[in-house]
Amino acid sequence: MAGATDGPVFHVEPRGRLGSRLIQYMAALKLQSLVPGCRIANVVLPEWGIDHPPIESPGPVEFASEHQFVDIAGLAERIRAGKICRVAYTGFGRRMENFLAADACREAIHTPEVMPARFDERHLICPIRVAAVPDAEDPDHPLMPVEFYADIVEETGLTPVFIGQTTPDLYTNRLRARFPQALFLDRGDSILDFATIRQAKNIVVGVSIFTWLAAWLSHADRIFMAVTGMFNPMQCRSVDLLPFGDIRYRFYLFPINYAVLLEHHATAHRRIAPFWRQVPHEVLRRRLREAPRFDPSEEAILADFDPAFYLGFYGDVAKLVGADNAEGARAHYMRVGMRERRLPFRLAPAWYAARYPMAAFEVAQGDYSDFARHYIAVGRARGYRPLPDDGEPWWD
Amino acid sequence: MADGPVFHVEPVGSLAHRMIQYMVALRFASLVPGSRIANVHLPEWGIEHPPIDSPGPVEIASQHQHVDMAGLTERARSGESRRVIYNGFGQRLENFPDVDFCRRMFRAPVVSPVRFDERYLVCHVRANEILYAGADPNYPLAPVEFYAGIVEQTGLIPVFMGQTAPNPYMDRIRARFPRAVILETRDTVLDFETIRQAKNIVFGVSIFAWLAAWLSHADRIFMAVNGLFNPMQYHLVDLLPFGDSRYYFHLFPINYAVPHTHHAAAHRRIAPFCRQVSHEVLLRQLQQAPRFDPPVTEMLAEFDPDYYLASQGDVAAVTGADNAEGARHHYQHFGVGERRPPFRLSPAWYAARYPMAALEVAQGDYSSFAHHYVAEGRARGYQPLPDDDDSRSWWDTSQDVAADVTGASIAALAEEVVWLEREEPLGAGFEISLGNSFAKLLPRDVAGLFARRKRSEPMRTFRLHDVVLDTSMMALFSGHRPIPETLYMMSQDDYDYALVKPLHPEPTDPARHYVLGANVSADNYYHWMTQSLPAIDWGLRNRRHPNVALALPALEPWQEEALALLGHAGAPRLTLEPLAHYALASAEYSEFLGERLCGIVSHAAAATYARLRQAVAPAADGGSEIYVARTDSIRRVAVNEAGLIAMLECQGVRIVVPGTLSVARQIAIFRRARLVIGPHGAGMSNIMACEPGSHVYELVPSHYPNICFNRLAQDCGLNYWGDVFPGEAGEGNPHDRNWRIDLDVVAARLVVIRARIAAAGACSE
Repeated sequence: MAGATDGPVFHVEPRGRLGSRLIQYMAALKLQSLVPGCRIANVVLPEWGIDHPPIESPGPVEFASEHQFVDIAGLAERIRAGKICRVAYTGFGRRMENFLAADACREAIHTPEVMPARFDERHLICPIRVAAVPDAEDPDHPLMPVEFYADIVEETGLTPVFIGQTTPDLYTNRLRARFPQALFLDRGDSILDFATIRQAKNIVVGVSIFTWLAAWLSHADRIFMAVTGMFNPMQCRSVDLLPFGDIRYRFYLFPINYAVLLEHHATAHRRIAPFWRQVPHEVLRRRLREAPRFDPSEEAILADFDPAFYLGFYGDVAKLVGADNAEGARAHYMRVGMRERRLPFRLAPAWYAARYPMAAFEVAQGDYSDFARHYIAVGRARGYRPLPDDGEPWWD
Repeated sequence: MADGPVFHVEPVGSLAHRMIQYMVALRFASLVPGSRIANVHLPEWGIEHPPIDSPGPVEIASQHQHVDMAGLTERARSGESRRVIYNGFGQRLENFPDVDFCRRMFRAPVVSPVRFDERYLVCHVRANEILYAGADPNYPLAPVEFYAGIVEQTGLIPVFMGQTAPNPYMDRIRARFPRAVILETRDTVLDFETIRQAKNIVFGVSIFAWLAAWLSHADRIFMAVNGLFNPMQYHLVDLLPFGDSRYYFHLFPINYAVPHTHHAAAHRRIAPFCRQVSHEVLLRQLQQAPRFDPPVTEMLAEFDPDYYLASQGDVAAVTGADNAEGARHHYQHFGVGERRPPFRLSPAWYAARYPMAALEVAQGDYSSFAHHYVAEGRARGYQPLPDDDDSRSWWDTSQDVAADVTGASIAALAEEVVWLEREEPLGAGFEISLGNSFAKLLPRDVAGLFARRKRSEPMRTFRLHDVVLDTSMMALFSGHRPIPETLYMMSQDDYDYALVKPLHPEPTDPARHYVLGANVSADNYYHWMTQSLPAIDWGLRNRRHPNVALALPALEPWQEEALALLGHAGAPRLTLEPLAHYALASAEYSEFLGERLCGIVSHAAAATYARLRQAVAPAADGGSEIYVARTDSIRRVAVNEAGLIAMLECQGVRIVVPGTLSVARQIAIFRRARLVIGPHGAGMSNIMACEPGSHVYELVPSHYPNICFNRLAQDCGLNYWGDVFPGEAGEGNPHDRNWRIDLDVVAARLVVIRARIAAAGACSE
């Protein structure tokens, strides 16, 4: 006991909801596996029997606060060398490299003591998640299109089971109309849902960290994963939750797409429906690795650079270089902004993606690194516009 | 000079093909000083090179498109050959002299083309023979949507010229561009010069238009990289002028010519996948193709040696027709690289059925559809061939098109879906008795349709938001797309037109909920009674809204009468003008109005029929056995109906001509009858007024075995009897063909039915 009380500490500042916090815990487990004797602190998830109370411990402290990237090897190295004694972790850490192997995680995250509805190999478990109001801060969590479930059901012949928030609304009504034979389980208990997913044989992953994790921890035969929203590294560069090489997974590459208001989701989904497709792991991996394939040259991008927009839109840059410093803005863009994929001129990515699904398809398959580059390379020549006209809705 | 080497051209194809051959000759001539061009006659351009007799050695250059220009000229210069006989097409840019030189060679003759300045977009139409099946598969039509995209992008005024004679394709173009200039087909050279002197040019798959555009001084040339022009589809041709800044390339999915009746469906499918690409991107995609290497091992696993040997005659000739190992060896070492088909796969079907695959091959990801199938398609559940037993073709409008191309299904669009009934087993209170003529005179599957149904089918009604009603088709549109389930009794042309139709809706009362009470056939007695009445009756009884009104066309007196019998004559109503559009904020469409009803049993519809029956007392004077005559119709005439009537009258059967009577009188007469006899015809719709357990005896012409009255009898719990009689042989409209009824069969059947009725009567007493 005495020995244990003076080991290094990995302190986790909780972020987000259940799924996110389990993912944080997985990063902590990975670090612990590299630094025996390291103590995890401040992770309390009683639903899973996880209880690591806060620990007061001395420094030196290192803060690990990048959103998704965690330098676990570096942290471990510095702890072992005695350079730091405490890590304060505040990131999300949604990258495969931050996790131990699935079996180790399964062991650490037990199925809680609930009685999940058990479904067998004839069922297709479809966890759904409908935000009451699509969250403007969460544009990378689009709904799963009804048409996508329909494709999977048609391909597999399985009976769909929709679990989660299935209260009637414009979205779930469309699901009910499209799948009159489907089961709808709305139990208002996410722990139970987690366990149900984890014990399923066939799963369609929604854009949700919670269902992603439940599926990953499962022993399913087939996991149908739409590479959409935050799951597509072309859309969310820092997230990497694509388990390449895990044969349970079938990837469906979607055009870049963002969450839209519930009343417009049907239009949005019908627009992108022709463009999603199943791709083999190797092909997807190569498309991502070779992206961007056709980006315009730096000179072409700089020709369109709009310093006034740049300084107005990126307050941090204005603060750094001065609000009227056009040359400073250009220098910042060349040195930093371009790499960070900041916008060089005014362009509405969500509008552009919805209005031009072919552009969204091309960016998603790695032809261009983002919509600003797409616009410069080919969109403008096609007559695309970077912004809607005044008052013009994309769904018109 | 008189004995320089000779380049003799064997002419192939039409004017543009021969011009291109001449360009090949010119290039040869420019590289071999002193050489002479022979046998080129292009009087349209004042070009005349008579044949020249000249000595050998002769070299024959007959490759379709490639010309070994370096080798030919080298051998001609060294004297190794003295005469070249050229009979290829040569459609590759590398074979041509530079464009300015070619321009000078084809001087505009003395014709005065219509000149269109920079405000116009000259759109060449290639249609004639490529509209029809059997044409070259690499000459697909240019989609109307392609022209539309460019017109929209540029804001120019389209001028359609070339092969603009009327046909369904041109009709679609006219409908889509009401303000376009359309030039009638004229002199070939005049057309050529019209393109050549234009400032903005767009063209589909046409060598003629390609050449005119290339020779032009246009500012912008919009070129469909489609069919023959896409090296991924047809790798021998190379007519993509990379680096020529006049050109805007539009990359199409691989696509092939389709039967002319299906071009609209085919084009709608590929339209979302067409896109303009920059020269650099297209060039790189083609140079790097295939981007993903063929998985040779897996392709060998799918390899079908029998197919390979049968389809690749040259291989069989080398290896022997039974040599499976030789075939495999050939494929592995040569066939893969040559993109030969390792197993049976229909590229045209695959491309049309899976446009995403067609896009992936077109952008150079995969070298062929066989490669695509093994690498991607198989895992996606694609098939290499259409199912034999699946009569549905890819262009079938029922499912795929409904999902992909028209709007979403009605259920997906509906604000609310109300189930009027669920399926139920049918009661035992009636029987179906079919004469053996069903087996003799009808195909087995058709005869089978007359059998007793096991279950009724579910019926739904849909409450829809913000739709537009088109009264010419009585179809609903959401956005600008027809809702597929509401398209009823549509020909392919109607259907295609529906998709391009401009909508100019009249406003209606936004506070009202409109129940659609008619389909496009509602002026027919059968359709009004069996479809409209249940739709109206359920719409009004099962109110989904406080402020309901009927949407109906102007009604005939008999239609009003039927409505009054149900008690609905006074319901608020929107009277629809023909050929108009109405914007409906809230509308209700029930499945009674759709195609399905006539082939199924619906208890909900039967409930309306029962209400109608109960609204009228049985006739006091009618007979208990009636014959429903068709003497008032000139269609599908039973040539001996007069003899039948005489025979039945002798038997005491009463003859009724329903079309001459009021609706109430018809119902009264049928309600009293225990047996109704009649040939297929609208008057038989009145069997809905018969009391359950009554008998219906239908006389069915073999050329028009329609099941609708059989179903109506089952709806109403009536015993159904039927005999089939031979119709006139022939093609065309069955309604124009006559038939003959065998009176002995009818007389014998009558005896049996009467005995059954008597027995049932005895039992019940």
